[in-house]
Amino acid sequence: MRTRRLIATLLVGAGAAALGACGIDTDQAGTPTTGTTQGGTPTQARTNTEPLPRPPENTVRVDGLTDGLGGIISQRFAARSGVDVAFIRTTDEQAFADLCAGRVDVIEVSRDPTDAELAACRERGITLSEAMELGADAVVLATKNEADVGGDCISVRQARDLFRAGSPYASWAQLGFRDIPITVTGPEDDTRVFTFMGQVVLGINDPSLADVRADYVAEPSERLEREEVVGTDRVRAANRRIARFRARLRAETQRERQRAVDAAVAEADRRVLREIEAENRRRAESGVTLSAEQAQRIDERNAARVDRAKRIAAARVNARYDRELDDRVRRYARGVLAEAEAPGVVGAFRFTYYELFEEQLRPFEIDLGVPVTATGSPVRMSDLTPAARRRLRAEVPEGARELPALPRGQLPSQTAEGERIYSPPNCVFPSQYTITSGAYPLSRRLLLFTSAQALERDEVLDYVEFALDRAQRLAAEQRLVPITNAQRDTGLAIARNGGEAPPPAEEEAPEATSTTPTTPAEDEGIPGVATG
Amino acid sequence: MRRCGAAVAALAVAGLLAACGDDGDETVTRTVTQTATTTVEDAPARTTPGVATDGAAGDRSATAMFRPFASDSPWNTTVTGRPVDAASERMILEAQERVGVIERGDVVATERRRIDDPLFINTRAWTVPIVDEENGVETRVICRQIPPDCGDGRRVQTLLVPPDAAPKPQYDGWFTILNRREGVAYDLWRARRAGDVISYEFMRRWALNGPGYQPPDSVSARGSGLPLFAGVLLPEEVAAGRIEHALAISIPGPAQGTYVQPASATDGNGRSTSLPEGARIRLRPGRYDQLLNLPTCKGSLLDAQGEYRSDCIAPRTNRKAARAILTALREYGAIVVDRSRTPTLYAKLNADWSEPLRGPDGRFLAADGRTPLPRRLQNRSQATPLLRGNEVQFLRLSDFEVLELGQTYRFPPVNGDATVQTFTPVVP
Repeated sequence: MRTRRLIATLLVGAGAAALGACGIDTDQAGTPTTGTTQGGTPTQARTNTEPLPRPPENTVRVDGLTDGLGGIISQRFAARSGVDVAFIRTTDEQAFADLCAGRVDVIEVSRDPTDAELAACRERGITLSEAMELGADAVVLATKNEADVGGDCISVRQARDLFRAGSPYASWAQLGFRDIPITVTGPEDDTRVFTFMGQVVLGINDPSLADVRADYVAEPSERLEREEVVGTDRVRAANRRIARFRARLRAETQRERQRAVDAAVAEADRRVLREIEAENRRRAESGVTLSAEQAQRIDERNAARVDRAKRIAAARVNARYDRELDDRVRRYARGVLAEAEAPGVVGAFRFTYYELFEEQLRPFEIDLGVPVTATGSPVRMSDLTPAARRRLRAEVPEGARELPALPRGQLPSQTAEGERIYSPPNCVFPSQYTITSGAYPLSRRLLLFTSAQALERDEVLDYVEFALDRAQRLAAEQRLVPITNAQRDTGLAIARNGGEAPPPAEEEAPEATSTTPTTPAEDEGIPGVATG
Repeated sequence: MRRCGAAVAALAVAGLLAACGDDGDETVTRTVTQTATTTVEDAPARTTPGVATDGAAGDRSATAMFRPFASDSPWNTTVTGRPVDAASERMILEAQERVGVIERGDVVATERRRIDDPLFINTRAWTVPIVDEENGVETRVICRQIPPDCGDGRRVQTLLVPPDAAPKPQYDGWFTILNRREGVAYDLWRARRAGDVISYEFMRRWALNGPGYQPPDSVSARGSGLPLFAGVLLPEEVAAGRIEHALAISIPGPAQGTYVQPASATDGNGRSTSLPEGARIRLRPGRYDQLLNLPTCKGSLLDAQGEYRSDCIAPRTNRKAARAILTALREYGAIVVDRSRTPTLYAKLNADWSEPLRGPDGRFLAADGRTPLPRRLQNRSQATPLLRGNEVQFLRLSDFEVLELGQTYRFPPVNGDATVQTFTPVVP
């Protein structure tokens, strides 16, 4: 992540002047430093030396993310509540450090605390709250809808390899799908969407175009990116080619057509004249005498017959030529359009954009590629029993934090807490639920943490409640993925319970089942799941 | 655009050329069809009316044709005499709204646009292939997710599937596998077949003699929690001209966050006061009589505004099918099952709907389904296909009335389990 520690502390609230004493010092060493308010007023900083700094009155101190909701929540809370808010944008690491040092009351971060951060909090006597979710964001990798590259699911590693510089993939066949050339498109460099994509897909904090594959098609807007995936321009161009082909074909066959029309017209003329002559002969043979008036009527009728016969003959020939022309154009168009509509282009979109055009885009499911628990979370080595950890010592690299994919026979069946462990794949479709629950791997959640000590202050509890109450609407405004009502209610319950999750309601006993859950055989290929 | 595509499909069959692209190219006919994206989660573990029990394989209609679910299922009961909801008109108006997107550079805004589109019947895309155990062979079915997220699939290892039957992944991979002997059906979402293995993301098992819906807050392969194969037009009933069940219908703007039974969830993205998923609509009585005897269109099928004409029926349209659908819409109504770009009915995907109407002597029949075509027109290109999608394109949502709604449910439930959450967009 691009560290954007703002030197200027953003002070929001009714009385900026009154906030002069409320800056946030994030100096790890605890040395008194001088904070600067938005108005540039120097302020006496707080430090992290013992005892914990005394919080300023009627002020909530918040560390937030650059692309998060903390900033806008702080502005609106300050405007409505009469409480001052000292807000600073920082990194996850710094935010946890600040919270555990008592320098801030509330933090907005994109991950859970590490064991070391939890220990740091404990050392300072700060009881970290449970996570309260505010919203989420995600990248959807999508191809053209109503088309098929031959697969549905790729792993996080394959997604990274697809986009990264030096990508080994040129055809979908290399992933076990159809043999269609791959084109990769996404946002332009130096945009928030590109940065976010780089973070969640490539795993690079501050990505640039040098980090993506050489043939990456950088589009200046999401619309153009979508059109690249859908092939709008290619189809337009193909249609123009088809129109030109039709015109050329018509011109080329025009002379031949005219000759055929002329011949058919002449033949019709001769045929009708022969019929008329035969009729005249029969009249003469039967001794019929016509008055001048009758003869004129017959002449006129005969002339009309000739005209009609010629018209029909010309129309038939034209229709035959038109049919042939249509057939040839159709055959030509089929090939040209198939090429233009080839589904091989994959784009990286923000989830909220994909949602608006879900009828045009077909998302990939994403597999984390490692064993997970029922919530879709990867299994950490620390989640295993000591015995299981010892048993896996040979298979798992030293220092690995997460349990890697292992042959099913070697995989522990459950965690130390009895949670069942599932081997990959776990192909997760991007949806509001899978993103805000964190199950969809290419997502980032915005989590609010505070401490039991901070929640004892009314203004902090008010701030957290305000944030959770408005999180859904604000997320939608910011084109983030809103949390569900249940997630909001869980957050509120945590805040009102001193930062702890209330005891869970009695759970229903799991359904008894006598059969084994379906799992693919070890060596079995799963249709739609990428290999390679 | 789906709407344009629907029109083009009809026009192309009529032997005309239509322009769909911006450049007005006359030679290109692309069939673009309905979208209806569904996201699914596991259903709460409890006994549901839709959960299979061994027994009778569905119900028989009066004409002895197979129809799934019990005779008292909402799918199989008539709506004659049922009262109209007081808010019917408003709900129908709001159901016609769809979310339009305005893109100016990086700024993306949405707005609701009310467009009274004609009804289209999906026959070739965005509808469900339905297969049964006949000629079926044991086929391995594998969920691509971890078992807790696979719905009823966590306990299903193999199913009887004909070797040549496959879902269409490009259309959400919907797939229904009936087993009439066991009286059950399996709906799959995002399914794909390779050889003798079918993978999928979610499975829901239905009892063919059950009610055809689930308790509130249960999800399925459809956003509404309803079966994929319920209310789908089958070739035998269209050929017979008798449809004795309610039809499944998707609409542009179903209510977001609320539904009524028989739906048990919703993926609606319309106004919260719009027509909810699960609602039952019926053709207005007066309209039925007007529509039955529409003349055949002469000239363009579009009116001066470029809209599909509602005062006539396209040439070479199977009038027997149109009449059967109209009758079903009057007597059984339609149940809102999903959201879609234009109002959509569903026909079984793996059926040859292009099969022309023929008399007992094998001669091609005219659009009325009775009169043989003149000898000079006795060729397949002049014949009337069984169904091509535009049979009721003179119909619009405004031709319907909403039957009194039952209890309205919130989705996701206010104090419910978060894991039942499936709805996708929250459109500002």
